[in-house]
Amino acid sequence: MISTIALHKLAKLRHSRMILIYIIGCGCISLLTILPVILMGVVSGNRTVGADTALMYFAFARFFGLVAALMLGATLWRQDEKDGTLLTFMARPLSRIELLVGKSLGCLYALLIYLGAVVAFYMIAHLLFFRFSIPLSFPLYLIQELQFYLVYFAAGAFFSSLLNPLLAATAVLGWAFLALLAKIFLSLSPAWCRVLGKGFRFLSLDSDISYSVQALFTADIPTVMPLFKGITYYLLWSILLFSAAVVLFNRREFAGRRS
Amino acid sequence: MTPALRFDNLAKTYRERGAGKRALNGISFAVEAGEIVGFLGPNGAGKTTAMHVLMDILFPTSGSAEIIGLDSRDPESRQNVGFLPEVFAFDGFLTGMRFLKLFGSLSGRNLDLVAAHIPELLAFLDMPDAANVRIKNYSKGMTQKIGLAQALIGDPQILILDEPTSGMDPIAKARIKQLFIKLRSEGKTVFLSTHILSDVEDIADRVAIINQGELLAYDRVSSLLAANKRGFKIVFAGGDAGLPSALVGCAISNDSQGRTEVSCPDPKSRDFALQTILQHGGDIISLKTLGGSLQSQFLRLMHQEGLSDD
Ligand SMILES: Nc1ncnc2c1ncn2[C@@H]1O[C@H](COP(=O)(O)OP(=O)(O)OP(=O)(O)O)[C@@H](O)[C@H]1O
Ligand SMILES: [Mg+2]
Repeated sequence: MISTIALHKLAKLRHSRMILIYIIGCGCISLLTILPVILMGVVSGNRTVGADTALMYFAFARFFGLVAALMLGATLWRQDEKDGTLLTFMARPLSRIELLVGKSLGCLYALLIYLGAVVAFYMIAHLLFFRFSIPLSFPLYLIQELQFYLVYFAAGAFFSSLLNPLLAATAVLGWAFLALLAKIFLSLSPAWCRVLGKGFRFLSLDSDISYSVQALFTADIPTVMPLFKGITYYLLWSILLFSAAVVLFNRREFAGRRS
Repeated sequence: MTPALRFDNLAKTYRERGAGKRALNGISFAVEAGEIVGFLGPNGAGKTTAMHVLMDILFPTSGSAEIIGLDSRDPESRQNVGFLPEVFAFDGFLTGMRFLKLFGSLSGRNLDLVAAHIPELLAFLDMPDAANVRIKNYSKGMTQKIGLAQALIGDPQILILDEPTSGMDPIAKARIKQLFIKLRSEGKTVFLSTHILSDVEDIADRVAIINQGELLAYDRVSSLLAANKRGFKIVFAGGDAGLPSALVGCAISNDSQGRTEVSCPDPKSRDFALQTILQHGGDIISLKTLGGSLQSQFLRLMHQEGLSDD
């Protein structure tokens, strides 16, 4: 039952071309960033490219992935409420939890496809044109990347229980901004600023805890501990936010679609 | 036996700014298994609200709703139910076939059985070619039909249908009436809200009539109609000069087209009047039972007798 719903959600996303657009977007922009390097490499005959190019590519990939995840979360069931499919689903002998988990699983598949495409682009570039460095911790990095998407997805799902999708997405972006605010306050000297800064950092989706793209591609033997720390941190946030989204969905009443 | 559906003092208030809207005000009745029950009431009476509580789309403010003895809040209660929402819509990118397969599998029925059932179902609904057409390209009536097919695909014991024939053509309406009768003969329960009272009168075993969230009547169609009978009206033309005076016990009036109307208070005077008219060479045009239609009973319950045409 859950997998039927998940596959239907994936089909729906495919037909809305949502994931395709993000993959193409990521592909185009990353091509634009890599293109000058390619040209330089062709001109100079040096086919080995430094970490900077890969870094840029993954930064763009993360940006598109986060926005995609956020939108998927914010429209998780809102879209179905709007187009009237939710009522028909709810009349089936499914619990609300199964329904939401099924839909989320569909979104997870979509994000995995996106991440797969990101890696595939990178690998193709690596094999055909350049020797990008592929560090040992690359798979772990991908897990962290996925976990990053998941927390934005869960945040989108949570805020969309309270707000419409557009406002929900805005709220998540505002929340992500808290990390920046935390940094500003932490850099100030008065004690109360530091306390406030720590508070903000506690509440924010602090990306400093994660393993940065830079660290990954510059370290020779990447230390794995910060990676696990980051993954655990985001996993906890994801579980918390998604559970809250499920509880709110479970308690929600729906209005019939008006023609 | 456990009733198929049961409303127990069900009240529902929509939360809104201020007082909130009381859509259901403690309705109680049970739908027995194997019956066709019409759920009637004017616009805004609370029919859709009650059905949505059954489907756990809305939650009761107080009281409860049950399906085969299980509370509506329990997903298991919907195990054997087909539901058609008032305004049916679904993802337009699916073809009729894929849509019905999806809901067939969600109802837990064997997929081979579902796949075999689909062409038959679509042919019955007079849209055999719709299987490979996307829902977004369906007409209004076709969309409604595929919605009904969705409710039927799992072969459920109980059907809860909110205005099932709205937007459908007369052929489809007639077929669906037959379908309901067939389903009843298989022991299935059909609970449908509708504004087409004549259909309900023809096929339903019972009707529930609500208005402004109150249950006004819940009874067998036959008893409801019997309670409201107000005699008979015979219309005839011709007849000899002695006829009017021979019709004792009946009120007589002439209409503009040279026909005569006779009102009789009971079956005995009706039979007497009919015999008398025939004996005097009168030509009977029509015989009507006054207040004998569900329509007139409905209007009476709504205090709108003036709108009744009999
Ligand atoms: N989402 C909602 N929020 C607030 N009030 C609502 C909502 N939905 C329905 N109502 C109110 O509840 C009452 C009952 O509505 P309901 O849709 O159940 O009527 P109905 O009997 O199905 O009518 P119709 O024959 O027009 O379909 C109406 O007064 C309506 O205004
Ligand atoms: Mg209604």
